[in-house]
Amino acid sequence: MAVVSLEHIAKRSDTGAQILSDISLDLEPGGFYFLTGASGAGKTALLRIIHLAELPSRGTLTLFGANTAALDRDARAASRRRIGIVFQDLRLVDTMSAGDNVGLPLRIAGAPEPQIRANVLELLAWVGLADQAEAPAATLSGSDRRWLAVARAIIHRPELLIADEPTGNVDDETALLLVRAFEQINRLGTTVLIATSDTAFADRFKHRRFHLDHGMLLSDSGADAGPVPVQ
Amino acid sequence: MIGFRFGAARRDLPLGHDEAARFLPWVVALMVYVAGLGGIGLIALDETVRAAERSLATSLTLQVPPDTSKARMETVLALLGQTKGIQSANLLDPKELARLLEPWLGPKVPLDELPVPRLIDLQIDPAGPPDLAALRQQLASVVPEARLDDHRPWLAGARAAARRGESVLALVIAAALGLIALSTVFAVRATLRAERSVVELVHLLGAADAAIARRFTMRALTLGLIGGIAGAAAAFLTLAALGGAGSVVQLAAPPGAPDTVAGIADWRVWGILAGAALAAGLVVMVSARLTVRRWLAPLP
Repeated sequence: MAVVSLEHIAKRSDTGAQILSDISLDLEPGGFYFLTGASGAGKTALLRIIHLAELPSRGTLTLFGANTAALDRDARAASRRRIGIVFQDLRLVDTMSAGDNVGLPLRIAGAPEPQIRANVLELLAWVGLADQAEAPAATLSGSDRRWLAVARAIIHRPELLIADEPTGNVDDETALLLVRAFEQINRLGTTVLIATSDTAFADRFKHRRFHLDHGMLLSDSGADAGPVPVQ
Repeated sequence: MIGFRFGAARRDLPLGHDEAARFLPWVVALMVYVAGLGGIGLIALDETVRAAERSLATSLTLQVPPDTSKARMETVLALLGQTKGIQSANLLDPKELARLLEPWLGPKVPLDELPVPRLIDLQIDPAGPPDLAALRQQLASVVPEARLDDHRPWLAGARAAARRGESVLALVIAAALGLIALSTVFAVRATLRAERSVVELVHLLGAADAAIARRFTMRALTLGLIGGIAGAAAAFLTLAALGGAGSVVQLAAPPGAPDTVAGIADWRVWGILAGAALAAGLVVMVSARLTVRRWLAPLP
């Protein structure tokens, strides 16, 4: 059973402009995927639909085996808790400490405080921010904030990790480290989907790649891509 | 439960960190003050009418001209004594009459020189009252100028007036609770607007609507109860400062207690003030919850 299954998904903007057209694809459990495309190709819209932050105008989204159109609000919230997300604009709460930002998904899930504290400290150490646990997020550097967003996305061991342009505006070395970090998470069983407008960067890795162009899924590629999943 | 506990920058999901929320307890306090005093006014009015009913519904007054002869007076008393439904007939002596009239006429007015009618106080059986029309006819045959005052028509008017007063007070209380709800809605909306990005983030990270609403609801309940308790305390102090509700709202003093504590010793006063504070807290809580749920509804 696919973790994510899109069938003929389309999205129109409020003004009627076509953002996504007839997208069909499957993300298999434990898979690692890039979603490439130029700026404005519809990558963020597609990620938002998968993350249940937006409703498609047409088509069927099946998430963790459940048709999302049939889910009530509580079930949709529960599905979101199974997803980790790195937003393009990071969306850290600047007035909160780094530790509180990272621990947010666990608190939302109702985890006990000792577990939250232990996991947060462990994860902050993993991303090299152990000494910044109590620092307000606003005081961290751009690179540290990005790692903080990654830590927040994975602290609850999500089944699906979505990252929207996580390697944008960072140097090549940091971008590489970020992908390596995502690969480590992937090895633990999490399905990973990374959106990037840097197609050449994505091609450096042997992961399946979906390419969007003007809202249409044109092809997929990658060293171990296998058959093109466009249906 | 969503909370933030790491380090110096710790913070809660906000409600109470902006002007609108800070203003909320003051609005609630003022409204609880008004509603609390209104509620006490309601029971006071009801108590007054009941007391008047108790004392007047079982009594009649017969006025006999001052120049009525002793023989006729005795005939009248005998007639009253034989009338079915009259339990007692008490001819007020001049001293007692003077005492009753003194508050109205002053102590120096020589009542002997005034044509003050003689009064007979009649206690009637409430279960089987006398036939007043027949009694009037019989009295007219003995003393044509005698006048039988029946208080019951006046009492019905007083009762109707009291009911109107109670309706007005009930409207005041309802308006106060409505204003509390409205103030809460505006305060919560202002906070949601100010903290939109945080609330949306928490929603996107998987917080259920109920969990988000609970944070606001509990904070609102706290603010509402703080305001409610302050308003109830202010209402209590007002009653105490006015010399006890006994003199203000005509509540009976408990046995052995001085009149000045009659009102504040009445359990209903405490009940109304506590009820007003609790009701305010509940109205704030429910209003906050509905506002947050309504605000979250358009989010997918």
